[in-house]
Amino acid sequence: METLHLLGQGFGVAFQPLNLGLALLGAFAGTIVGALPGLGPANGVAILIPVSFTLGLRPESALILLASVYYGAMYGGRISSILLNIPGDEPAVMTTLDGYPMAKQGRGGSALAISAVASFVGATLATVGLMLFAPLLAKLAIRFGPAEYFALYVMAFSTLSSLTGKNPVKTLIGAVLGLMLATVGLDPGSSIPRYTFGQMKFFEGIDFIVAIVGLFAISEALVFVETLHAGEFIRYKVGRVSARIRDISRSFMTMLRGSVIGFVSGVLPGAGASLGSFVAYTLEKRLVDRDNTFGTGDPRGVAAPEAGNNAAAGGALVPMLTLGVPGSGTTAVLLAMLMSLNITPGPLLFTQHPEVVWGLIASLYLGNIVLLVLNLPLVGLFVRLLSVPGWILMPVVTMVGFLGVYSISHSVFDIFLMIGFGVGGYLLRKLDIPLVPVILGLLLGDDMEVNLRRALNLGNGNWLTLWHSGLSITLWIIALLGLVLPLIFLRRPQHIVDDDPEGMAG
Amino acid sequence: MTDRFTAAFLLILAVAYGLHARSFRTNFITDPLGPQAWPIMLAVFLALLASYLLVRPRSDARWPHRIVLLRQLVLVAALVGYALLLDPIGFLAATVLVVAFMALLLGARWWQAGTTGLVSSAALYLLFNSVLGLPLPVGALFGG
Repeated sequence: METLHLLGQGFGVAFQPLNLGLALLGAFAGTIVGALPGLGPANGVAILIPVSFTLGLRPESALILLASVYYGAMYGGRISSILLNIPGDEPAVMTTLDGYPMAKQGRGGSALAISAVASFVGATLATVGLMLFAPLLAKLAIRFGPAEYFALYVMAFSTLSSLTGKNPVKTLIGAVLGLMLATVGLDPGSSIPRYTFGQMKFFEGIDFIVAIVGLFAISEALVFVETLHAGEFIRYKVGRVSARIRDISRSFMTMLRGSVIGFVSGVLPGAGASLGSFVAYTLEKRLVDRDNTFGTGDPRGVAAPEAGNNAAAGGALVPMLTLGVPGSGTTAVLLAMLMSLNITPGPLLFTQHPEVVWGLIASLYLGNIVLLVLNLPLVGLFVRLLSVPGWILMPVVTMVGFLGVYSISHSVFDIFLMIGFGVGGYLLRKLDIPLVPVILGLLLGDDMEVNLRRALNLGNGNWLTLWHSGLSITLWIIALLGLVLPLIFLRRPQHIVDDDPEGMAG
Repeated sequence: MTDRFTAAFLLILAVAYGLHARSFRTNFITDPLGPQAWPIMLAVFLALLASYLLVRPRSDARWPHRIVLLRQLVLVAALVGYALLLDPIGFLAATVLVVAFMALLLGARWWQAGTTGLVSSAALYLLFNSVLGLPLPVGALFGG
């Protein structure tokens, strides 16, 4: 009952004309971002963060806008996967396996329709999951002290290293680099400057937004220059976007199973959507693929990963909102935005800012319906975007990111810092060091240090205090398993994780 | 090779970062750890990871061809130039130039690049200045 009451209040927030408009706009913009080849949700949200700032939005409105962009990009990502065989980001890779063969057989419209329904089922069930489980986790998280939080952060990095990236060592290197970047600025305990090189600009630390837009948008432009072959654009015909009822009803159980798997893997820190779509696809292949049609254009092979990755997107919001630990790259970007608005996600968010949490949940329900409409009858609009040439796309996307950063700071120093992060991000991508742990490190670094110092202060300097409660011991054990298990199961499915050259899964 | 080089660089970084941490001193004791401990822990951890990578390098990065590399350098230079030009010549002129330049770099014809520059500059100006209400620099050249 309490849930229904709060949800009712949430709909009150979501139905405010401004928020309703933002949800529509975000869903539309997100689908565009997702449909553009090579642009994923993390990128799209990163570019739009500064824009949402300059609109002067209240926190719940900003979150509604960007979460709608996030959901929209997850829907849109399938369009270029199915029609072009170019996934916009890693989770969309699995959709190419059966989606592209369907498109080649002239059933592209049917693949788009089934995947839209699967995305809707996955995202809606995940929103239900978010609504039911996030408050429970928040109640548990109230009992977290500094020692538990420190263990939780360690656990997030360790599961991140074991579940994403092909090389756990490089993932950890990325995380440490991010944590080191976070130490730039005034020391939270004693207020002496650290690693500022006498620059006053660095006293407040490195601006998350500047770093994120640089790492994602500017490095993307450099990759774009490298991979673009001039003059590659064709017109695409998809035929009628509709699916036979039989195809949808036959894949309905697939969608349900994919949603549950996706949601669970989304909740795990770091695993995110790529694991969700991968496990959903492989499980369905084992369960229902009796005639070996998976991989040759089976509608269920499109439904499973799409339900999985959209459900994971919702699942990833759970740890971000309740614990302040994002489950994926895009939720890390959302976390950066909330922190910049002085909203600290965590258990207190649910009691102090219920309008943010419940407004978001209600908007996600509405956004999903909007997205289903956008992605069934109106999908032709987005298909046309595929023929936008790169020489228009890249400069405009870069400029939006650029202007966004300039408009919040008006400082040339920040612009140079952003370009520096762009070049650095490009080098890291080339070296196979994923960017998501770098951003997580930068975001969580301060809190991680503060909680460690607070815990030791409470324990009078005795390090055993970090293991004092059952809760913290559990977290340490999971963290340890996260580091050790990949060593045992080294024969993990490499081919999917290998396909993330950008390191920006989910 | 690339991995070894990276590992060596990270090792040097870890040592420099860790040594620099020793200079953080306070006159009063705030907490048992103080400002030094956390950075030193990070430095040690990075040194361990880098050493592992040094001994067991994994992949070899494929670096772009020289021409592509040159293009990327030109792109970065163009963005730096844009940041420097924004205040003197104003948003509109600077954006036309940089967008057209980027389009040329990506293989557009000169008239395509010019049109993209003009249209996107005007559209972005309308979006940011008029719709979002952000003042963009008019440029000292034009009396801004």
